[in-house]
Amino acid sequence: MTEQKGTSNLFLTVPPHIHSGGSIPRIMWSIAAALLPVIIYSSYLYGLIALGSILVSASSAVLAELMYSLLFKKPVTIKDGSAVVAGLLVALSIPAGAPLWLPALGSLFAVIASRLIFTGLGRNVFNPVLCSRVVMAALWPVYLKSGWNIFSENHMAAFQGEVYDKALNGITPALIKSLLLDSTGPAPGEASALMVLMGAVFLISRGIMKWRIPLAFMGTVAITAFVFCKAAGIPLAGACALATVFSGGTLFYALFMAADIITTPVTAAGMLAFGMGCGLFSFLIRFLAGWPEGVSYSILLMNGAVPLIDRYMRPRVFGA
Amino acid sequence: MKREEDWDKLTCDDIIKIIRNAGIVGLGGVSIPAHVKLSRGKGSGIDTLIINGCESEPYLTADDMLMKTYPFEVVTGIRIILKALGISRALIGIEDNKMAAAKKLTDAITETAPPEHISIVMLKTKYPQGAEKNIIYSLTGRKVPSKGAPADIHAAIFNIGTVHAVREAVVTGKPLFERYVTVSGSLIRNPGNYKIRIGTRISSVIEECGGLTGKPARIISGGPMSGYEIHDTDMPVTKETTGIIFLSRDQVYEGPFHPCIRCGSCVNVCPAGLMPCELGNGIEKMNSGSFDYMERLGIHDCILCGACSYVCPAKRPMSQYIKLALELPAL
Repeated sequence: MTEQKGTSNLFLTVPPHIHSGGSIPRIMWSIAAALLPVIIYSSYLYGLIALGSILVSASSAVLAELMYSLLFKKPVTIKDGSAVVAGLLVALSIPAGAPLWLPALGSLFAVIASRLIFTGLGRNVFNPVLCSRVVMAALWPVYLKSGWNIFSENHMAAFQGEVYDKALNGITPALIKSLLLDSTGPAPGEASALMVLMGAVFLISRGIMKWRIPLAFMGTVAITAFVFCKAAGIPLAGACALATVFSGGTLFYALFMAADIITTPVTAAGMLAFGMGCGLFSFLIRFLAGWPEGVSYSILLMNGAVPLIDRYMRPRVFGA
Repeated sequence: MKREEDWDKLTCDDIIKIIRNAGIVGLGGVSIPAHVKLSRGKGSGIDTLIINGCESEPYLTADDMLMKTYPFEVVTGIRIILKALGISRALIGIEDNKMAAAKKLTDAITETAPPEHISIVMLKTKYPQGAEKNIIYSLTGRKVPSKGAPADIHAAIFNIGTVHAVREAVVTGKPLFERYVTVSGSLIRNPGNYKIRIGTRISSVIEECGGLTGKPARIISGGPMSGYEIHDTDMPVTKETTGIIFLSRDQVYEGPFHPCIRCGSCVNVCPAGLMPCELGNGIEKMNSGSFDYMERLGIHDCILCGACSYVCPAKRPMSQYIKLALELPAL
């Protein structure tokens, strides 16, 4: 493929002779760009501490990747943007007020999870950011609890109550505005559903996001929440389902973790099944088990099922 | 033959014999002898003639030019083939970026008012719309079965260039000693569609077309998606040379490729419904156990269009891997 042609022109290249121009750096930097709205909005909402955490996390990830390349004598790939994306996602998923060593170590774990354990980009089975998150949750649970944040715990409780109070008035413009723009959790990624969706629309328009996954994921979350609310006799189940979809970090996780390119199925049917599985497990863990990290675990669980999904949900061969 | 309409007096066997003696092959690049398709197709239950008016590849415009310049000749050619097959229904598939050609052809059909039923269907412009199985499906909704041929679903398919050559052979008695070739790419001084004699050296073609403006990174015979690179400009134009494309360095990708990142783009674009990434990854670590797996993944249904390699962000040469694997005796 890569031989230089001499004058004899004995080295021939293979078709196709033209290329779409798509590349791994293009994908990774697009994802980084898609995270910009939520980064900017969260810096405005939570203050400079959020921006600091994001910068520390991203630079730590790049540094860790550089160290890995130098230590193991691999080509230096920091320019492809994958480390930056991992760093940004780590920072966006942990509480903005956490001490700065937490995002730094979290990014290090993420790079270890993708490079050291699975030998590189494209070969990791589990989402490295979620792996890192689970490790952090096991080692330092106190920092990841929703209580740890720049707001007080009471404020959070009052806030959550406020969202559900609004939901109990039915689907009103006030509810929708609150769901789209108000922060619903301590992590910068949860700053605003609207900002997260803006990033997703950008990625879909560039043909990069596996959009079927978040669609199936959030659809399943909405349906299960609706059924649960109905069964529990909560009035206005529709508004409650809407609030469940747009509040909490689920939307951010569905769009940027579950729809990760590498650790998800490659077929259209497989992507839908993967998303539904994530949604179902999130519902089961959240409503019936009550663990923290429910969404992270459900995505990791489905990551493990990807080889199976790809094997049994193949596209239909033309004419077969 | 004295007059244009005189072909109508020929029997189908006469027509097939003329076509065979004129040495006419499919001019879309695959070069199946036309008389084979016709004599096998006759009386085998074929009910529809598909005329491929979509170019097989980007850069190629010879069929578009033929439809615009010789619409009446094309219609006559279609009628001759219909007669040879003993049927009366033809569908012409044209991509919707060739509206001028479609208009000319429609006018020619209206004016000729043939007794046969010949209609034009506009198709979405996309690659590989001109691939045999795909255009038949687009036009008739019938799917050529896996490992099957168009005749299995009662269709015969010819492209515009072949139709035009058939008309020339039957009406004017001209054998296939020249063909229309698209000479294109950013480095040729006078790009265009040229009538070139079979056996002309590529170097002579370059000379006739005003020479090159720079050293081409690749000279392609055929289209840029599935054509092959020419290693020597003394190579001749053959019956299968649909185009000669001179690509500059900035039009081609030459560099390393990476491991699959599982983005699914190739699965999304594969017109054969395959998983090119799985095939590529499997072939890369080929061992005796994987042949079975390749079979089950449908490697034989690959049409080698190159769409998977074209979109791959990791630049993986999947279509070449598949081509290599298909040439192994075990498969």
